[in-house]
Amino acid sequence: MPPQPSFFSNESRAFELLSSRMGVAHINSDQIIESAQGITQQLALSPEVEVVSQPVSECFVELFGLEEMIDLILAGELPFLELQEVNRPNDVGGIDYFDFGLYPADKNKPNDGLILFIENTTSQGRLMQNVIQQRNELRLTQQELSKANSELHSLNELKSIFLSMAAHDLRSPLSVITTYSDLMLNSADNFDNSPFEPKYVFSRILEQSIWLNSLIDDILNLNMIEQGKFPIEMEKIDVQEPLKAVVNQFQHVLSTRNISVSFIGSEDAVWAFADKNRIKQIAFNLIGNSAKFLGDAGNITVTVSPLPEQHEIKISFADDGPGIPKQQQERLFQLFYRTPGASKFSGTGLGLYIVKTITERLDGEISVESEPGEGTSFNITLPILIVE
Amino acid sequence: MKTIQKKICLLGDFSVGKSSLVRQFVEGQFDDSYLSTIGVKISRKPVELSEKEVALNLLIWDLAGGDDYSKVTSGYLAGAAGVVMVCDITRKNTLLMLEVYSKQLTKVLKKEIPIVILANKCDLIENREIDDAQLDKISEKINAPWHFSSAKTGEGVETGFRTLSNLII
Ligand SMILES: Nc1nc2c(ncn2[C@@H]2O[C@H](COP(=O)(O)OP(=O)(O)O)[C@@H](O)[C@H]2O)c(=O)[nH]1
Ligand SMILES: [Mg+2]
Repeated sequence: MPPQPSFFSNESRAFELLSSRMGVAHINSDQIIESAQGITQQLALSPEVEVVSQPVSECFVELFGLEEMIDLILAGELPFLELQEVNRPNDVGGIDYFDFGLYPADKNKPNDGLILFIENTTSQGRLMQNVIQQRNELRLTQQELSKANSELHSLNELKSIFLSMAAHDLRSPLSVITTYSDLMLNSADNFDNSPFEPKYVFSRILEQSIWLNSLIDDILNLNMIEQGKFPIEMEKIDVQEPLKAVVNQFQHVLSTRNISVSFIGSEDAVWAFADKNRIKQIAFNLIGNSAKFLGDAGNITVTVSPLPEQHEIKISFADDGPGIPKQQQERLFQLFYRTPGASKFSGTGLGLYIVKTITERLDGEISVESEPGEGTSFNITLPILIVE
Repeated sequence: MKTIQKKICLLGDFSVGKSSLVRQFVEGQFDDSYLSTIGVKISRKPVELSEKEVALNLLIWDLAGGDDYSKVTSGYLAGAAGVVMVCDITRKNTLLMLEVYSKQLTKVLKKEIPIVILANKCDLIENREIDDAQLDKISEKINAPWHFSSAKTGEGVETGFRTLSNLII
C-alpha cells in the first residue's frame, strides 16, 4: 500500500501532473487573491505580475464585471459561478479551452472566501468544437437545401400557371377555326350557294392558325418564363388595327348568334408603342368573355378614344350583358380563383389575369365598370405616342 | 482623457458573423472559412471617444451562437454595459433569433442595457432575405438602432461598435 499522506503532497508526481492542468486560488471576502497554484498565474492578464494580493476580477478578463456576482456567492446568495470553455489563443495559433469556477471555500461558511478553480479542458473542448462545427455545417446545408427546394417549388408553380394560361389562350382561336371549318364543310357540296366567301373564310382560318402557331411558340419558350419573362415585342402601331382585326373576326363568328360587334374609332391612326399581337390577345379575351355571357343576343362595342391631353389612349370593351356584382369585381383580375381545398381553375379568372398582366407590361392600366343588369365595360388606358 | 473599461457581448444565431466582426474590428482581418465558436472568447480593443474625452477599453465577449441561448446565462451577461446583436441578411430566421436573445437578455439582467443591431453580410446584398422594413420593426421592438455591416469588406463594422460605445458612455 502506498503511503497515503504523501500522495498529494507538493512534491508528488500526482501533484505535478495536476498542477500542469489545473489552477486553484484562494480568494478572500474582499475579492483579493490570497494564494495561487498550478496554472493560475500563467493564465493571468499579465502573467509576469504576481496575482497574489490583487483583486481577482482584475487578474482575469473573464471575471471583469462579475464583482457583484462574486459578492453574491460570498453572501451565500448564489451557490457558485462557472464559465465553461473559455477560449484562450495558444502559441501555435490555435485555441485552448479552460473552465473557470468560483465556489465557496467552505460550503457552510461562504463568507470565509472562495476558491477559484481553473481546469484546462482543451481536449474535450476540441472534440466538442468538432461536433458543434459539424452540426452547424449540417444545419447550414439543410437551410440552403430547403431554400433551393422552395425556389424549385415556385418555379414549378410558375410553369404550371403558364401552361394553364397557354391552354386557355389556345382555345379561342381554335374555336374560330372549328366554327369556320364546320361552316365550310356544310356547304362543301355547293360553294356557289354558300352565304360565305370561301376565300374570306379560308384566310380567316389561316390567320387563326398563324395566331395559334405563335402561341405554341410561347409554350415552347418555357425557359423565358423560368426567368420570369413574358415576351412582349414593342413597336410603333396604330392600336386600332389589331382591334379592328379581332372585331372583324368576331363579327363573322357571332352573327350566327345574333350578337353584334361594333368598332368605334377615329379616322386617323391612333399611335402607340405597343405589341400588336398582345393587343389582339387582350381583345380576344375581353370580346370572347362578353360573348360567353351574352347568350343568344346582345351588343359588344369596342371604342378607341385618343386623349392626347392626358397622354393616353382609352380603349373600352362594353357589352349589354348581365353585368358583374360589385363584390366579384375585386377578385376579377386575380389569377384563377380556386375554391378552398380544390385545385380546379375557374374559366374566366385566367383570361382576365392575362389581360391585366399584358396591360401592365404595356405600361397601361385596366379597370372595370359594371352594374348587375346594366352591362359591363372594361376600360384600358395605354400611353399614347404623339407622332409629329 | 480618462480610461474606462467596459464589457460588451455579441449575441446572434450561429454563423451570422459574430467572430468575424470581432476579428475585423480588433485585427482588421477576415477569413472566408468557418470555424464554429464554442464557449466564450474575449477580445480587447481600445476605442477613443474624443468628443467625450474618454479612452474606452472594450472587452468584447463573443458567445457561441445557436439555439443554446439558454446557456447565455447571468455568468456570461453580468456586468455587460451593452450588446451587439447580429443577424445575417441572407438567412431570414437569424432575425427571429434576435427577439429570442433580447428576451433572454432582459430575463437574465433584469434591466435594459444599450443594444445595437448589425445586419451583417451586407456584401451579399443580392442574396438578401431580410428587408429594411423587417429590420425597422425589430429595431423598434427592442429599442435598438440597426446598421448594415460586412465583416468581409469592413463596411459598417467600426460604425457599429462606435455607435454602441457612444450609447454606453
Ligand atoms: N460574405 C460574408 N461572409 C461573412 C461575413 N461575416 C462572416 N462571414 C462568413 O460567415 C461564416 C460564419 O462567420 P463567423 O464569424 O464564424 O460566425 P459566428 O458563428 O456568428 O461567429 C464564416 O464562413 C465567415 O467567413 C460577411 O460580412 N460577409
Ligand atoms: Mg463565432
